[in-house]
Amino acid sequence: MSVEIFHQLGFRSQWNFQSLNNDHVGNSIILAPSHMERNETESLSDSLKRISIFDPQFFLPNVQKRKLATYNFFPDVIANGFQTTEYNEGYSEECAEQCIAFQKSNDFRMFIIPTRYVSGMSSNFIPQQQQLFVTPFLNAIDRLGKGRPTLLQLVLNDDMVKDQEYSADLLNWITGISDIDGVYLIADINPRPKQLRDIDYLYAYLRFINALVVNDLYVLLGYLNTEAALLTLASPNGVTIGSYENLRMFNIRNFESDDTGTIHGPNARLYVSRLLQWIDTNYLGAIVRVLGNTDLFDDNHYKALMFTPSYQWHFSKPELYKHYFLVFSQQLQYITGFQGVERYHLLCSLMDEALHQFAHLRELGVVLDQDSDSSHLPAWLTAANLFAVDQGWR
Amino acid sequence: MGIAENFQDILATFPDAQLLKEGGQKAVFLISHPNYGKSVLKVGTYSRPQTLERIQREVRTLREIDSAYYPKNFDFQILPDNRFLIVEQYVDCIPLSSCMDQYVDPAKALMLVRELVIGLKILWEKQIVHRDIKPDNILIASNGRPIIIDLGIARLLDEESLTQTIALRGPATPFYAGPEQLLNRKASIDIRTDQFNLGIILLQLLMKGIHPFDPAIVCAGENIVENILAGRWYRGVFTNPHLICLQPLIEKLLGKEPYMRYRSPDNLMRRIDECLKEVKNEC
Repeated sequence: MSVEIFHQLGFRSQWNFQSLNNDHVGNSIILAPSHMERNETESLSDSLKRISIFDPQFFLPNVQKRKLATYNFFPDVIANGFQTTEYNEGYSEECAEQCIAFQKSNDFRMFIIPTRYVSGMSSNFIPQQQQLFVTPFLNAIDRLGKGRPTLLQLVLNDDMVKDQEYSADLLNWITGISDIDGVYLIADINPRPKQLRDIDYLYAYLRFINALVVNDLYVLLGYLNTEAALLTLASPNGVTIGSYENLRMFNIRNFESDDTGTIHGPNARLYVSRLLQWIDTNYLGAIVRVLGNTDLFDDNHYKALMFTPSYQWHFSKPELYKHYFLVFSQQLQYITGFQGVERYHLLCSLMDEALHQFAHLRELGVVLDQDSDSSHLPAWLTAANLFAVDQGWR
Repeated sequence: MGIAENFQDILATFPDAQLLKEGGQKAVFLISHPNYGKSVLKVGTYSRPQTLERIQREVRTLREIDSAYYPKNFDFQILPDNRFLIVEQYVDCIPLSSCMDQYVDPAKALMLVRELVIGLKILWEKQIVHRDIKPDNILIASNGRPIIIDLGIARLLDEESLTQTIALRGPATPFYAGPEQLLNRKASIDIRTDQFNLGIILLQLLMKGIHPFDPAIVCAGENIVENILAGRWYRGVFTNPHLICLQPLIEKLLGKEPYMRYRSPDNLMRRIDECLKEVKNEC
């Protein structure tokens, strides 16, 4: 079965809505209260809400963010200042009740049990998540009526996933919660490179996802960059696409306070499916010059618009992202049209082809910077091969 | 002097009591009870409050369960001098450990495990883990139905464990315990722990009573416990073409971690039924 694609909302949500409505990209939307006030969320059309899920974003339950504060069930609001013990003893049930009631009354597609962000490998992680959120939310769902799948959200850092014993404890815990139907996983990699290159992590994450899938859990992977293509090897049910990098790479700092400073403007980048990489637009002219055409770049109506002499490339322009949504979702659909060992072989051939293409560009004199080059692909191929051995595919 | 000597006052009320079994702390008698008829009388002593709590827990569980897969509890009394008394339903049966050779046929072995899953599901639905499923704790009634006994170390998942935190190994019979029990990883012990015990029993039945983790047959490891922890068991059994269809089921039951086993009893039951069909087709 092909993977479902979720728009990860956070900035410039209208781009995602337009992509969904006009380009028919994606199956679902993850709403982000930190960037959408309650009345705005509630005023979305019923048809849109029915295909959306609401991520309560309790990552930092004591944070004071203006938009989050419009949701009266947010822990810091409901408890009039969040403190773990006080919340656990007096507010967790009420918070869960109101949050689930909100998700239910808006008829969102699934219930999301939120999570608290925890750094490192706390021995208290499981009991705390269970106590603060899992038990109260499952109780609330039980009281208010289920009627839709329930996903447990978790933010897991690379150490948690790479440590065999810790990850086994996590998997035993998650798969032992009989009343959930799935998991909404968010990877917290710190420091986070634009492309993941840590083979041990990628391999461990593939195994982790696969273990959940084998247990018949719906697995949704959030805040993904293009590693989504690699991770489809483990057959997750849903992956996300996001516009700006902070929607493709989870960073807890983005949830710490309201944005007050100026936005640091990154270089504009264009996603190239044949390279499985975002390319700094500074290189586009050179690439077109050495290749003699624009065939390397994915063709669609955004390409026609962008590859005109008058087009001013800029990271804040919607075409870059709408193009990415369209191209990458098509690529993901193509990849996940294949299953098991066939998907593995296809991914390997896509990566090999990309490496070949990068080598060709290098031969022609295009020296790409480290955020646009192929340096992530050997790591991806290696992780894929390790996972394939586990699965008996090689 | 046996433990029974401490219960002369009780035994005096059951002049026909026949001693069935006597251990260090407990004795079991067959009695004719004025209210319950032919019954089993268990008497014993306890030295620690935890032991008494375990006994009380077993009694509580048995009283909650009204099932042919468990003996009925008729009476429980705490007696002076750290003694206790239990009266239970008598069932004409023999322990599985004495009749394993009757289940070498894969269909018969699977049917027995299927019955055990039905019985255990009653506990699992109450979030209780038996934690000591082994051939000695499975009695086979004359009609072939297994009866599960010894819920003494069963643990309610949302009840605080009685196990001492410092214990290196959690309560269980080591030869049948799952790795999480042997390592006393209490947070990882759940209903899937019983699946590991069942996996060993199923293989042992198919292997004419030989323990699948026995170093002598695995040709590795110092002892059974070490092999359980290392996930080393005898897979040579699947060279028998009639048993090969059982390999996925047994591999999953014997998963080193609970998440590698069946998430729900219904999935396990479904797989057993599929195996039964395949085994019958083989035959």
